[in-house]
Amino acid sequence: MSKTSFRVALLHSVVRREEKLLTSALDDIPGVDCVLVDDRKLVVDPARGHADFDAVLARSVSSSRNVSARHLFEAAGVRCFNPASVAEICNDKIRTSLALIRARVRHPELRVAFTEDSALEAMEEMSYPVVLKPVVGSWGRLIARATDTDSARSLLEHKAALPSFQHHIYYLQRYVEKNGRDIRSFVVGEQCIAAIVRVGSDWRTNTARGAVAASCPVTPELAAISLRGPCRRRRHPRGRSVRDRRRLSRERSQRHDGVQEQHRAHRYRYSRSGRALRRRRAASGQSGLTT
Amino acid sequence: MMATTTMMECPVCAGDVDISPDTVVNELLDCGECSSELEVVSLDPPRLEEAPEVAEDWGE
Repeated sequence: MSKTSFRVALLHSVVRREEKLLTSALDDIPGVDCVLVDDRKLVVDPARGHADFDAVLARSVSSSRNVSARHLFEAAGVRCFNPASVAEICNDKIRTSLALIRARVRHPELRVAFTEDSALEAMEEMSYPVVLKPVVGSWGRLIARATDTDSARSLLEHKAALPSFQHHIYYLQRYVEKNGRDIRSFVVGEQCIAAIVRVGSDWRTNTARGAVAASCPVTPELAAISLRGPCRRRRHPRGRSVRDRRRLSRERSQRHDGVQEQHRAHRYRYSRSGRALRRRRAASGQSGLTT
Repeated sequence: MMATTTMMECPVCAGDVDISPDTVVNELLDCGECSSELEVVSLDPPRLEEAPEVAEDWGE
């Protein structure tokens, strides 16, 4: 291995076709050395850090391992694709929904409840059909559609009986009729690079549920919606845009100068040194501060 | 990677599983006879095991 090569770890659980394609593509890049890292064999000492790589492409099929591993690698100064912060948002449907709402991306009507009773009330209020989803989950697993009060009660009872506490947070969405298809788009940086349409006979159009994916043209409308989330105006960590922060900083500085001016005027009028200064100026015929 | 195509035995049905030259360790394969999903756990010596079960937090 060349000392100047860029070592990329491809973190995986199993090697599927996608991992093989990625490995092959990385190996074709001059100066890049791709190493397969099995998350089942990975042991990390956080105190030491795990800095044997320059970057990590996190492809672990376990979402929990993916997030934890990314945190550990990032703590050791290794850049991860995607970062742990992004993975945390995408893994959690509540956080994802909040991000979409903040970015003003149209979103199915949503309620979140924490008990069976309050969840049932919310579903009655939303009107059926209502879709129940686990907050953390993928591939269409344990997604259910309640069509009336009876089915809602049954589904809530079953969810409450599931052992994991995650099933006791009720993520409820109004059902959106999509005629057996949906669109998934892919954004890299500030570009929507591709999209697929997934068509299936199940109302859950996950490919894991048998839906078939086909290429979908990236229209300007589709690209605009896709970019609204990740490509908002560059934001200051406190939530305001960089331009807004600069404007506010200028205004604050002007207010500061104005306050300083007021303080000087106050001292001139009321302090002992100010009175002395006024007397000297009066004696010499100078005008003082008017405020 | 392996230099030549080889055959491995399916741990489920004992059928023959054809391994291509570009097969890597931890790669998933399907047994053509019993359709079990298998994982290549070793290339030298060649060995297959049943692929891990899908866990609750698996996904993409």
